[in-house]
Amino acid sequence: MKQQSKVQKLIHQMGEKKSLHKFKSIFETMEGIIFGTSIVTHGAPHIKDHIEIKRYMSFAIIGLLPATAAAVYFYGLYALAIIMTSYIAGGIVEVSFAIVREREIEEGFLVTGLIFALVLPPTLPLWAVAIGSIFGTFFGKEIFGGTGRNIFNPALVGRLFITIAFPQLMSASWKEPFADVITSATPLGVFQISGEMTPYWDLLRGLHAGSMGEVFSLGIIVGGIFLMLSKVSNWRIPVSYLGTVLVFSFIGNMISPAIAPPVFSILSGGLLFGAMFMATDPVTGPTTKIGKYIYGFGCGLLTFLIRSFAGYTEGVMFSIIFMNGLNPLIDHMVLKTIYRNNKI
Amino acid sequence: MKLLNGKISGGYELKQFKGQPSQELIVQVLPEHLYIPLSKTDTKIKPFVRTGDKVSAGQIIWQDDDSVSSPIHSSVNGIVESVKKMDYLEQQVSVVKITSTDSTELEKVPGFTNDWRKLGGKDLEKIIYLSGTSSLGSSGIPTGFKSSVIEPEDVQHIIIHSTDSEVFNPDVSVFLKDDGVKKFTEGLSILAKIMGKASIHIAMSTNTSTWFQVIDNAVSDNLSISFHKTKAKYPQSHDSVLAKTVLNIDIPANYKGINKGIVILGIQDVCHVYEAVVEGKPLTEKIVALAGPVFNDNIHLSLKVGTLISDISTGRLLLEDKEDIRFINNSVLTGKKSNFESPIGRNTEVLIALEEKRGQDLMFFAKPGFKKDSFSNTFLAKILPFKKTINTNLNGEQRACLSCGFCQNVCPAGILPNVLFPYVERDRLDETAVQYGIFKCIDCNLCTYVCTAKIPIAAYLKEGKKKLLEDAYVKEDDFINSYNLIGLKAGRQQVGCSPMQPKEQTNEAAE
Repeated sequence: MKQQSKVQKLIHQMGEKKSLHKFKSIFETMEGIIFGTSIVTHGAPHIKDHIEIKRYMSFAIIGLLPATAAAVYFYGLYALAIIMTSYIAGGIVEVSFAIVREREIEEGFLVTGLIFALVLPPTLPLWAVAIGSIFGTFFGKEIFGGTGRNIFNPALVGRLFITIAFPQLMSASWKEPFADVITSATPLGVFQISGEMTPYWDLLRGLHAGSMGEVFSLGIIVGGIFLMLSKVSNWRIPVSYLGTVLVFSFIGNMISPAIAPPVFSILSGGLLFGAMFMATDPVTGPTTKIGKYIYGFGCGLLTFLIRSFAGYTEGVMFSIIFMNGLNPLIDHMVLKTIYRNNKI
Repeated sequence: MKLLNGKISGGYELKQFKGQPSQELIVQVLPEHLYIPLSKTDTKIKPFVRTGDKVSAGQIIWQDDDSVSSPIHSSVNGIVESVKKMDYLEQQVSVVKITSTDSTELEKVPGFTNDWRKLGGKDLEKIIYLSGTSSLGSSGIPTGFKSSVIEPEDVQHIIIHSTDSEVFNPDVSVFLKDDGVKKFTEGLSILAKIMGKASIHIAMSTNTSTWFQVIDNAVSDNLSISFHKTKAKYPQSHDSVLAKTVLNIDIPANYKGINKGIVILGIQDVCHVYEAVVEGKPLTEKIVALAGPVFNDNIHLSLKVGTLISDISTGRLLLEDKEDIRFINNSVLTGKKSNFESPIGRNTEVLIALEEKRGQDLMFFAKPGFKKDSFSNTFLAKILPFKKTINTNLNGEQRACLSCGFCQNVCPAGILPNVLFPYVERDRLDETAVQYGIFKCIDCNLCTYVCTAKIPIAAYLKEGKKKLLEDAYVKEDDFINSYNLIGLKAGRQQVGCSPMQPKEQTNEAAE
């Protein structure tokens, strides 16, 4: 290989060393990140698009930046500590798997690690963050074979685990931005108990209790639209997801005032964040276009049902994870239907 | 003038790459040696000439009336140096090496005349066949001499296209300027006379469709042509996409337009028809566009068939090391590789030189990407007017499929490549893959191009189609019967390609 700098050679040689053989995949990853690939196409097509997974995942992170920045601004350095813990704990699992499998470290973790942190309550103890991150990465992703092969969104698997394992921690860790007092009620909770609604403007700019990345609705909308425009996320899922919730809560609210009105439903809780960043995960969503609408509709319907009629105040996590499990079936049915008359 | 709009479904605009051919046309100096490729790997193919024979320019050096083929001529006056196998379009092919003398005299095709309208269809067919012109186009021009798999009277449609849909396209004005339009329209009239039943269609991209009026004015009154404006989207120039957008006719993926009675030709091909019939010129000269950023000047070159790439490229390349350059014929997405020692054959219209980029691109994923092409909107090149870089680097590492859906969005066949390729990758091919439309794939390679995970999807699909046919999940007769295909008795083993030097449609097997 030519045109290599000294640093690249050094990293490459480190990877080739016998004593460091076990860590070869890590050196390869470093080389890939810093220097790009030296492989050329084999034959036709002789050229390749410039998009690749590192770019793809970087964009997902850019989309999450407004929400992340707001989390740190609202909840201070502790938010940063949660994010770092999530990255480090999950990163250890990811790297160990890369070493055992002798494959490069997969980029998907960069997004999972951040999303997981952002859906947590802002005062959750760090040890719980670490457990959730490890569990999510291990059982949500690695046991299926890594990014691209997982059935469930790994961040949600981690979140689900700590929700079930530590219910007290999860329901009593909410805090309003800049406040010192820990509350136990998010706007959805308050609405369910007293029917009182947090003003829309407060919901938009994030002045309410909630998961640390989920409160700043405005930033989530901007980031989500950015991802859709860059084609990194598919618009069909958020549109059908939010649209379904909008329609059902509109009808529901007309029938019974105990059901949250449409705009409040959209802006409160984790709905926007879930619809923009988690339901759109291409790996765990359906691949057919019609399937995406069905999936979005299913998520929306379940969210509406859980929020309105079930014991939980929030239903986004459950509905996405449930639809994740359903999505191979959705794709199968859609394919069988569109190709039912196709012979050759 | 009848003007129609052709709509391609899917596809992708491969535009603004560095190295587009300009309008300049230069005549290549006659090289000392020429290497004329005869045909495919068939060992039975023997030229009429032997080492040491004297040949004249325009003399037929190979002809076979039993197989579907057209005669091949010597492009220069000279002496046959050798007949040997050489690398040509990624295959070993018999090549006649001729050392040229200085004389420029050309042996004319017998029977040519300025007054061609007086000739009968059969006479015209004979001239076109003997001139070798009948080898042009995606599957040859039918004559009564087995130059194509069907007969002239079976032809229903003729499509002439200049769709600008490839990364690099020849500039139409090179062929049409000055008396070019006259040659072209007369050529059309000749074709119309031979293929009497056929309707004539011209498909041009929106960028070049200003030529429609010029052509319409020049064309003789009794010839009716329909003009089709097409988008400059790849793979508009592929047979099945042209047939669909222009005529709304479905061609199954492994077959060519000719199997539905559609003859598909380029602008230059039609001009060659005129030159053969009116000027008596055998097909010994081609205009080839030099494209790609490695050429220091992207011009059109008028050269003799059989000129070596090394002769063309002397003094015209920006890179010195041979290892750093890849030569590609006609299409960056489906074309075959050539090397310095390969000759230019009759079917090369664009010669592309790209850099084999094995070097580093520091923190490439974090750069704004002013000059990086992508289907996604993740690079600034999408909104900025800079010329985009182009080289053979993979631009990333292979990963597991993310289901990002880009391949579905660009697929011109409307199938789901990301759903289909795992059937081949995991060796689970069965009726399901057939039902999900794997045989609609036209091997355009666009899915492999856009893939975020750098998976050679198109190669998997190609392999899958082959295996399904081999294992008889689908039989050729199924296609013939359900699509009413013709021209398959003559060469049943040659499914999916024209017998004479087909335009490249093949792909490498999965890496």
